[in-house]
Amino acid sequence: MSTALISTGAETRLHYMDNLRALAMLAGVVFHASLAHSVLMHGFWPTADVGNSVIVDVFAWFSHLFRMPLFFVVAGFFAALLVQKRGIGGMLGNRFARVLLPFIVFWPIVYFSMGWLIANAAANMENLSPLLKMLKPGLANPDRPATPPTLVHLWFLPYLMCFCVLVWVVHALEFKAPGRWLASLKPVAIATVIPLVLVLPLVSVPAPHPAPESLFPQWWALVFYGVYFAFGFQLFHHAGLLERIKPAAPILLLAALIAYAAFLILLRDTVVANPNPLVHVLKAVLEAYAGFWLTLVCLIYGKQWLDRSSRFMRYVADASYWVYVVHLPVLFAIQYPLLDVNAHWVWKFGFSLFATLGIAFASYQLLVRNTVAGRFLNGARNKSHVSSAKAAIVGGSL
Amino acid sequence: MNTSMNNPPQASQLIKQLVIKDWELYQKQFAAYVVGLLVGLTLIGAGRTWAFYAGGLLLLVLLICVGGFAIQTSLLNERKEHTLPFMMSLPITPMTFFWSKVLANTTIYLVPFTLVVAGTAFLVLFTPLPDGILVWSLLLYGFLAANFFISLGTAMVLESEGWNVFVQIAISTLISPFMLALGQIDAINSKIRTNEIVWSQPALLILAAELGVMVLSLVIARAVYRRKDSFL
Repeated sequence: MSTALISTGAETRLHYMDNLRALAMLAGVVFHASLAHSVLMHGFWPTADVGNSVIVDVFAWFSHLFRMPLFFVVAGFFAALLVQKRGIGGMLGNRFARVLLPFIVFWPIVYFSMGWLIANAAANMENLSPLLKMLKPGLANPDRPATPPTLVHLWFLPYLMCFCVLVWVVHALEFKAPGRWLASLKPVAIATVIPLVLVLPLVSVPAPHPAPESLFPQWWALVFYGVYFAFGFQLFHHAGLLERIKPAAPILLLAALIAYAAFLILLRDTVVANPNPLVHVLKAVLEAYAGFWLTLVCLIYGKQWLDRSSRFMRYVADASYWVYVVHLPVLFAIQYPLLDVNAHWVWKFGFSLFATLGIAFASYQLLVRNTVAGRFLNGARNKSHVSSAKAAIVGGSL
Repeated sequence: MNTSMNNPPQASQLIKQLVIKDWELYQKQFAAYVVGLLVGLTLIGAGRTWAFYAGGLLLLVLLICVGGFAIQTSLLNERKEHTLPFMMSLPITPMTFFWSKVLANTTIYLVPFTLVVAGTAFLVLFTPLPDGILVWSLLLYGFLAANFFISLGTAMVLESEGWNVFVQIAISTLISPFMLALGQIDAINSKIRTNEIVWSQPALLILAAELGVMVLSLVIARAVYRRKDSFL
C-alpha cells in the first residue's frame, strides 16, 4: 500500500474528499430542482413546469455527468480507508449502520410521502405536468393494479452497500489484479482506457443515463458506478495517481467540455422516435469520456482548492447526508403548488431551490444535528479541531 | 478436560470459535455465491422474460449449491483431509462439535436462503406476477431447505463420502418431481395464476411435512451422534 494517508496523516489529506462528497450531494438538490424546468425532461418529470429552457438542460446534464460518479469515487476512497482502519468486517459493519440502516428507515417515509404528494397534486393542481396528466386517470381509479415500488432518489444507498459487500468478495477471493493494473497505467491510459469500460453500460440505457431506481440491481449501474467506486478505492491505495494526472487537468477539462458540447448536440436525437443506433453509441462514448474526465478534474481541483479545514464546509458536509435524503419530497411539495403560479421559470426555480435547501438545513439544525438522528446518520460528531472528514470516517458517516 | 467441557459458557465459546473457523474456511466459496446471487437478481431485474427465468433458475441452483458445498467443506473435506484429529485435540465433546457444525452450516445456508425467499416474496407481491404463485414458491423453497437438512443430518452421522454424495444427488433429483407433484394438487395449482394467496389444507400439510423433515433430520442426527462418547 503506497497511500500517502499513512505517511502524512489522515487529517491533512481528507478535507477535499469530504467537501467534494458534500458538494456532489448538494449538486443533486440543484439538479433535481432544475428538472422541473428542463426541456428534455418535460414529458417525464412529475413537477415539469410550463416554464422551461434549454439553458437549464445545458447546466443540469453537465452536472449529471459527474455528480454521482464523483460521489461513488469518494465513497470507494472512504471504503478503502475504513478497511485500513477497521478491517473488512469493521467496514461492513460501519456501512451497514450508516448506509443500509438509514435506507431501511428513510426509504419507506420518502417513498410513500412522494406517492402521496403525486396523488395530491394530480387531484388538486390545475396546470398538471404531462406526467401527472397521464397518471391522473390511473390515480383516480381505486382498483388500479399495483405498480412496483422504486428506490426513488435513495437508489445510491443500496448500490453503495452492494459495492462494499463486493469489496469483501474481492478481498475473500484475493483478486488483486485490478489494483496492480491501475497502478501500472500511465495517466494517458487512465484517462482513455477506463472510460472505454464505461461505454458498454451506457450504450444499454438511454442518454442521458437514468437513475437506476428499480428495486432489482441493474447491471449497467453496477458496472458504471462500480468502476467509479473501484477507482476511488484504488485511489486511496495509490495516492500519487492524482498527482500524476494533475498536469493534464486543463486539457482534460477542455476535452470534457468539447465532448459535452457534442453530446448536447446529439441529445436532440433523443426526441426522434427511432434514433440512429450509431448516434446512440456515440452519445454513450461522449457521456463516458466527458463524465470520467470531469470527475478527474473535480478530484484534482478539489484537492487543490478544497483541501482545507473550514467551519462552514464542515457544517455543510455534516448536513449533506440529511439534506440529500429529505430534499426530494420537500422539493416536490414546493414545486407542485408552483405549477399553478404564473411566474418566470427563473423565479420558480430559485424559490423552489432555496426554499428546499432552507427547509432541509433548518430541519437538520433543529431535528438532526444534536440528536439521536444525527448520530444515526453520521455517527458521533467529533468536536475537536480534527477535520470533519476524519471525524466522519472515525464516526462513520456516509 | 471433562470438567471444562461440562462448563456451559466455555462450550458456547468453543462452538462460536468453531463456527467462525468454518466460516473462514468457507468464505471464498461464499464470496463466489454472493456474486452469483447478484447476477441472478440482476437478471431477474433485467425486464426480459428469458432473463427472468434464467435469473430465477440461477438462484435455485445457487441455493442447492450453497448447502451442498457448505456441508462438503465443513464436514466431508474435514474427514477426507484428516483435519479431524486436530478437532479431537481440542477440549471439546462430540456434542459441542455436533452443534458447532449444525450452527455453522445452518447459518451459512440460511443467509442466502432468507435473501432469496425474501426477494421472491417481494417480486411476487410488488410486480404484476400473480400473487398466488407465492404459496407454490414457498413450498418449493421449503422443499429445498428440507433437502439441505437431510444432507446435513446425513453428513453428521455417515462418514462415507460415497453415501453422502448419493443422498445429496438422490434428494436433488426429487426437486423436479416435487414441482410436478405440486402442479397435480388442484388446491395449489388452481391458485397459481390468480392474485389470491390461499394456504389451503394440502399446502399447509406439505409445509408442515417439510418443517417436520427438517426438525426430524436434526433430531435423528443428534440421537445417533450423542451415542458417541468420543470422536472415534
